[in-house]
Amino acid sequence: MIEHDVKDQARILIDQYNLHFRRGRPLEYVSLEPLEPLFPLVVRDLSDWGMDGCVIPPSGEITPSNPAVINVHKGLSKQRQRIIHAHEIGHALNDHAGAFKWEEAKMDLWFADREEREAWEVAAMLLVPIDTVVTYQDASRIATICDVPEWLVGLLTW
Amino acid sequence: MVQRDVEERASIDHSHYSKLENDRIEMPEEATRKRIHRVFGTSDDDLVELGILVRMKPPIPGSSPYYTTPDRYQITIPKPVTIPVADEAADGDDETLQVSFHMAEELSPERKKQLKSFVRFLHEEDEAYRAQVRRDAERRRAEGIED
Repeated sequence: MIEHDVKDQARILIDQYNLHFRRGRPLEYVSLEPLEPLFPLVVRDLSDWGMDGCVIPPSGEITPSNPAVINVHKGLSKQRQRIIHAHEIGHALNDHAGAFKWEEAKMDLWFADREEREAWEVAAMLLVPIDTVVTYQDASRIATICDVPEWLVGLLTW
Repeated sequence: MVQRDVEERASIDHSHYSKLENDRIEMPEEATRKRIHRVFGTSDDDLVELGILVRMKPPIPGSSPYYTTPDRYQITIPKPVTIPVADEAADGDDETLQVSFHMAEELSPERKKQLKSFVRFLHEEDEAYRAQVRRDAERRRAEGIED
């Protein structure tokens, strides 16, 4: 389970970058584009290592002039790239020393790992607005609306 | 009770129910489970007791619990391999970038070397990106353009 201060950081990001609202109205599909200054997305070929994405958090505080570059594999769909982007942001916020997400086929293998789970919890916070959860309540429906896997909804804690 | 009776009483299409019976659907939707439970007088909690489902914490306090299949949560935790990326004491810089890899299998020495080189490459690319961001910001400041 992620630490409270990491959750706070995720909440601050969501608020400061207005991630879950547009023109004052709640969003259901969340774009991570507003976070690009802090967590720029670089698409590159990671196939040699079977990775979906990776981040090596910078030393010092993550700021627009010291961003945490998120590398995602070019072979992924845009939908998957967005989810991996959120997941790697989770690693960076949790200050994991450096983390790599292996291919989806090995998802279960990584799921039990503490750092992987923490990163997914942040991804859930970023991609699943709490308003959507309150409105729809049903995990399967929320997953469809937010365009995320159903298990990610189950990881959401605020 | 035969399969056809269950299908009728649960109002589930024959081909869909067959897929459920044959495990071709990993996790039936909640509405489908409810209809089947109604026929048998069971609940998702019974499936939890049988180890077929696991109960998840509800996303928000007070909302319904969430169920999933145990195989999504199980499994062996692979042994982490930690590889120091920077060359030891290279040019007097003792900063070592530690990157933990969670490999399912042990890496050969050659593969470890390749991995180390790849991570160093990524790190240098990231540093180059950050340097470019800073240069761009300075240029904009010099030109009086606000971010």
